[in-house]
Amino acid sequence: MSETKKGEGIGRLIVVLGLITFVCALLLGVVNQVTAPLIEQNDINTRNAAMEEIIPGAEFEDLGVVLSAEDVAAAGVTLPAGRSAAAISGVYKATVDGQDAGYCVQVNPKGFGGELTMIVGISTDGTVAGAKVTAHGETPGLGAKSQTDPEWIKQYQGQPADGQLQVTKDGGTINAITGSTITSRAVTDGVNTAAAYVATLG
Amino acid sequence: MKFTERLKAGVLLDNPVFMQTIGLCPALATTTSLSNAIGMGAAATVVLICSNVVISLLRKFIPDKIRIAAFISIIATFVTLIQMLLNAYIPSLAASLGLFLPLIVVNCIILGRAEAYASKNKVLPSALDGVCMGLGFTFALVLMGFFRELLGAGTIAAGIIGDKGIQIPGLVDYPATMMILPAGGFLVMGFILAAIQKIMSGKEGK
Repeated sequence: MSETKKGEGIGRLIVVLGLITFVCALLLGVVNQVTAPLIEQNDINTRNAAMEEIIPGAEFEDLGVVLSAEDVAAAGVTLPAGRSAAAISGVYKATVDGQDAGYCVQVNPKGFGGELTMIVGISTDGTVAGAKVTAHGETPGLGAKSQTDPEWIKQYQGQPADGQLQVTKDGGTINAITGSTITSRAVTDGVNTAAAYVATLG
Repeated sequence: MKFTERLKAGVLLDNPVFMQTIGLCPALATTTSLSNAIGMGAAATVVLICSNVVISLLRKFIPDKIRIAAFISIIATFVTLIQMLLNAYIPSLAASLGLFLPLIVVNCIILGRAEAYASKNKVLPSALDGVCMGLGFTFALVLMGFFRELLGAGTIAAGIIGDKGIQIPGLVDYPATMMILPAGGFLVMGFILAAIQKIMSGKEGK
């Protein structure tokens, strides 16, 4: 680490760091340009696969609904005491052979590591058709099980879509993931929000 | 400067986690299972090799006073690039790595090797250092992940050998869940460090 007097002036420091960050930014910008459409397509594929899994054989019509958490609450969605509604980033009306088959709702409840993205299916008979977490920032091995453990997420299937589900710790029937109560509550919020919102659609 | 010597240093004698005790945060947080450990180890190794090479190339160009800022910019760029590329081309791997990828930025092994080695050595040895230290880090994670998964979930290599891995009769029904929680991370780390100390002191005695 030689302290050379020449070329260690403040000007050189600024130029060098500026150059490095400029090259970094340029690289990131270029790669982002290339990958952004691919990533978007992957997200759409993931969503379609999740919806197909929840309501098999259905055709989905995008209703173009995007609502912030506040908008959802204003639309008359109320969750169990102490819990608040999640944002909705898509509502899809499902039809199987021309018959109404319910809705799939993409919701974004707040988990332990930021927002989760999940698809919730609501059947016409007023039950939850299924739920699937498609993206999350939860702790690997703990909250991430909401996505990776198919047995866990299955317990939402067939539950009443009344928007009043709770984890057992809060007096409900949903078994939380061990060590991940916050994630489990978030997923439950997501299912409740979807159910209550679909109820407002009539 | 033999490869085997460097490898032995990286994995055993100078192991980043067990000997230098750096990079403990990911080592404790992400070793809840063997598959997590391998994922984190592999991702960190790739970033470590890339950042070591670039920082070694630029070592004469970067003034001393701003080296940390420059290193962090380079490391963060690599992590973000890899994240974007994985998301675009191998989304399944990106999904299973999840939060590990952005977490690599704050892995102090990467910055530590940039500061201690790559900024003072030529490109090839720096790349080699990245490989060896990365393997050492992965080895440490795998060791911890193996024991924590075994005791905490009662399985071996779940997610690698099929979805459920090898299930240990008895343990899988009544696992010591604490072992995959943060407390278990500290416990396993403590026992492994103690075992290594014991082995090392025995060697010195001879």
